[in-house]
Amino acid sequence: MRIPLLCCLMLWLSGHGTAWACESDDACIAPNSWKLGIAVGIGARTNPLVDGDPIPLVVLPDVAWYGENAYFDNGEAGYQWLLRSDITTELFVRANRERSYFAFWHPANIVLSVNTSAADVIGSPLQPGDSDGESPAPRDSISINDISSRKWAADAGFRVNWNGSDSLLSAAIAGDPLGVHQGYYAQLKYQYRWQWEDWRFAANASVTYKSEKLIDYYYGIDGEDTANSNLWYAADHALQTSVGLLLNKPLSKHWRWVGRVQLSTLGSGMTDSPLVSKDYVASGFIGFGYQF
Amino acid sequence: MPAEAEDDAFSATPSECIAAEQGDECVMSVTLHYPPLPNDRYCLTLNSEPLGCWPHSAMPGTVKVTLKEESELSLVRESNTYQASVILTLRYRSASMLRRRVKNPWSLF
Repeated sequence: MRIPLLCCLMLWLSGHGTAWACESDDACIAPNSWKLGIAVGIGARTNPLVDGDPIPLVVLPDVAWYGENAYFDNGEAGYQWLLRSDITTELFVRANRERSYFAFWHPANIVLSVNTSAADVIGSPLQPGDSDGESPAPRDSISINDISSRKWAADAGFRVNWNGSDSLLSAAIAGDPLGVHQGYYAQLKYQYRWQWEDWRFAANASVTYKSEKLIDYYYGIDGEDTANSNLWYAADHALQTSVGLLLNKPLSKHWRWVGRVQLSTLGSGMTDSPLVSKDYVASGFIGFGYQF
Repeated sequence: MPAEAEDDAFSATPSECIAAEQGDECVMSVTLHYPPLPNDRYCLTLNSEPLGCWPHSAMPGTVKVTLKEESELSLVRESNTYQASVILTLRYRSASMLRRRVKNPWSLF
């Protein structure tokens, strides 16, 4: 229900504006150049795991470098070819985000300092079975504090982008070059950009298929996590959907308003896990950005 | 390098082609200047692809080239005892040089 509502809002907004040309805005870049920015504001990404810390979004860096073909863009490194106005392709590598739910020391949290209890207002999961100062009784639930550690993984994949004047359709598939989970994912994403007065918007919708091995490595539960076999869970693949809206209003050459909301459903392969207490991940941010 | 040597070098003007946007082919005519050539037949090649061969007294003053990338225009003596090259570069109009970023701004986390 949440995602259809957000889709309707985006469709309504997208009908009230003009196309967003790729000229001198933050979403475009010249070859052999850098874009460096930093935004400060308020926001968070919820954590769907039992006892998982929400990820606060208070400071958002924006770091991009593009060469003639190679690039680094906000944590993703890659090599592009077929650089045409209507289609581009790229090989890319980046950190897999799945592990970020399991640790406070996600890169997001290194540059931020937020009291977890305050952040809990945004999306703390239920924590059944805990009681302060008492020795733990046999539990019928499990949290990320009880399980064996999950490793960080990298995504390495291939993506094709079809560019319209105001839209972008991309298809990507990525595997696990480090052999951590030995799974893969495939994603289809559509993005529509438009401008309304000084405001620039980018709405997106995506569908992501995550393989059984990927989901099971992070959200499956076995004897290494708990001796209670009632909690063991062999995860299945998951189909996840996501919609989001980015907004940007230049205030001067360097300053701009920056905002974004994103809502993703997680799929039953993941949400059926006893480790997972929510069937969605929501994130939002609003603040000021400075582009150097 | 002495001016005399510059005058004697194989050269092409202009050496830069400006296309509308990345991915477009760029077509231009370049004017060629040759050093004194011994009596023989000579060939012009673009990235090793032959454009044609002529006797030294009938070398073309201009050639039409189509660039998809930075390219090497070479003057090659048929007996392969002489070769000179110039680089032809490709540039795009400034507005079209911008390209969409792979990721949205402010999307690290």
